[in-house]
Amino acid sequence: MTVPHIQSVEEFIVHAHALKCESEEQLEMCADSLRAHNNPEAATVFRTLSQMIGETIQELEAMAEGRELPQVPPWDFHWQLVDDPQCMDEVHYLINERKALELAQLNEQRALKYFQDTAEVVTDQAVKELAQRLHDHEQRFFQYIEQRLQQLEEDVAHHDDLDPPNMPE
Amino acid sequence: MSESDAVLIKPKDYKTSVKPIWCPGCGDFAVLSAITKALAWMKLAKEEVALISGIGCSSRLPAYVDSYGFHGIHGRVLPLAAGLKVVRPELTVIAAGGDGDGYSIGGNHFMHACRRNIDMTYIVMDNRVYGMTKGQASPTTAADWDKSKLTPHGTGVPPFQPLSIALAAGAGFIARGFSGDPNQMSKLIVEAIEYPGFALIEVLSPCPTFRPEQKEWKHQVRQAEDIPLHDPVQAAEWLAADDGMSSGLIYHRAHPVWQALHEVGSTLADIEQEFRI
Repeated sequence: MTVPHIQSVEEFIVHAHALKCESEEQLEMCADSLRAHNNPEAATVFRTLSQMIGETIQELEAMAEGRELPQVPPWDFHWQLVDDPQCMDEVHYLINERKALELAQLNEQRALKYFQDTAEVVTDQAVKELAQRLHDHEQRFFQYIEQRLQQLEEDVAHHDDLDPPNMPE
Repeated sequence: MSESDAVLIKPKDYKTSVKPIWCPGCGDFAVLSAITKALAWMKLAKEEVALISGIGCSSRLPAYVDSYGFHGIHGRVLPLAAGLKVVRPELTVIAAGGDGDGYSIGGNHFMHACRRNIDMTYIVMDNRVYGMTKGQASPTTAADWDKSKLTPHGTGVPPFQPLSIALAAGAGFIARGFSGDPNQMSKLIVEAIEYPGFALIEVLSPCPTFRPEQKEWKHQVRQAEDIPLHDPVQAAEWLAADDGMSSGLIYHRAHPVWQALHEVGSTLADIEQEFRI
C-alpha cells in the first residue's frame, strides 16, 4: 500500500470518498448477485455492511459541501497500487454468512490500512484528525463484523449444490 | 460544472435500478464498474451515450448502464453500433460483448469494423468460454481445455488471436484490460472513447462458474511497460511474443475515420426513391 502525499483536507476527502464508494459498490454488487442467486442470508450480510459504509459516505459528502474539491481520476487513486486484496472474486453463490463476513472484512482492510497510514504519515493536522476519525469508523466496522462472527456457528462447508453448473470430471 | 461537483457525480449515478444477474465473482461486474467510472470522469450526459451489445452474459450490460442501450442479436453488436454512430455521430457509442459473440458469431463484423474505423469503442469481455450456454469452448479457448462435454479432449484448435487480428485488419487503438483492476480499465475506456476511430479493449474477465481456474489471472496479469507502440510491425511482433496476460494500451496510431458522406436525415420516401428501379 502506498500512501499518497495528501496535502489538504479536500484532497483527502476525495480519496476517502472514492475509496468508500468502491467498497460500497463491491458489497452492493455482492448483495444483488446473491439475492439473484437465491442466497438471501449472505445477501443480507453484504447489504447491511454496504449500508454501514453508506453512512460514512454521507458524512464525507456533508463535509465536502461548500469546498472546492480537486478532481482525481479513478486511475490515480493510490491505494490501488499494491496488495489490493480483490477478494470479492472469491464470492461464491453458495457462500454462508460467515464466509460473507470474512470476505467483507478482507475487502475493508485496505481502507483501514489506508486511513491508518495516512494518519501516521501526513503532516497537516486537519488531515491527520480526519484520517484518524475515519480509521476509528473502520475499526467500529471491524468490531461489528467480529461480533457477528462470534454469534455464528463455526464454519461449515458450502451447501451441496443439487444442480451444479459445471461438469468437470 | 464546478470543481466541487467532482465528488457529487458518482459512477453509481450511471447505473440503472436493474440488478445484474451475473454469477457472484464474475469479472463483468468490474467492467460495469469501470464503464460507469469512465462516464462519471468524463461527465458524459446519459443521453449522449449509447451502449450496444449482442448476446451473452456480458451483453447484458446495457440493462445496467443508465444511458441509451440496445441489447441486440448474437454477433451483431458491431453492425448495430456502427449504424447508430453513422446516423447519430454526436453520440458516444460503446459496443460491448463477449468473446463468443464478438470473435465467433460476429467474427466477420469484427474484422471489418477494425478496417472501417468508425469512431466507437468496443469492449470485449473475454472469459474464453460460452458462459450463458453453460460452458462450451469459445474462439479464444486454449486448444487443450477439456472441461466441456462437447470437447472432452479439448478443441484441438489454436485459439483466435483477437488483438493480432485487429492489428492486421487495421485497428488503430488496441488495449487489454483486466477486471481485477477496474480503475486502470476505466482509464483505458476513457482513452478509447477519446480516440477518434475504432478502439478495441479486450478485457480479461474471469468466469468463476465455468472457468474457476481463471481466478488465478489476478496473479498472472501484469501491466506492460514498453507500450503503447505506434508502429504496426513492432506491435505485431510484440503481440506475437506476448502471452496474453499483459495489460495496458498496446497500440495507438491515428487512422482516417470513416464517416457518412451524405447528410443523414432522409425521409422514408427519399430512401424508397433511391431504390426505385
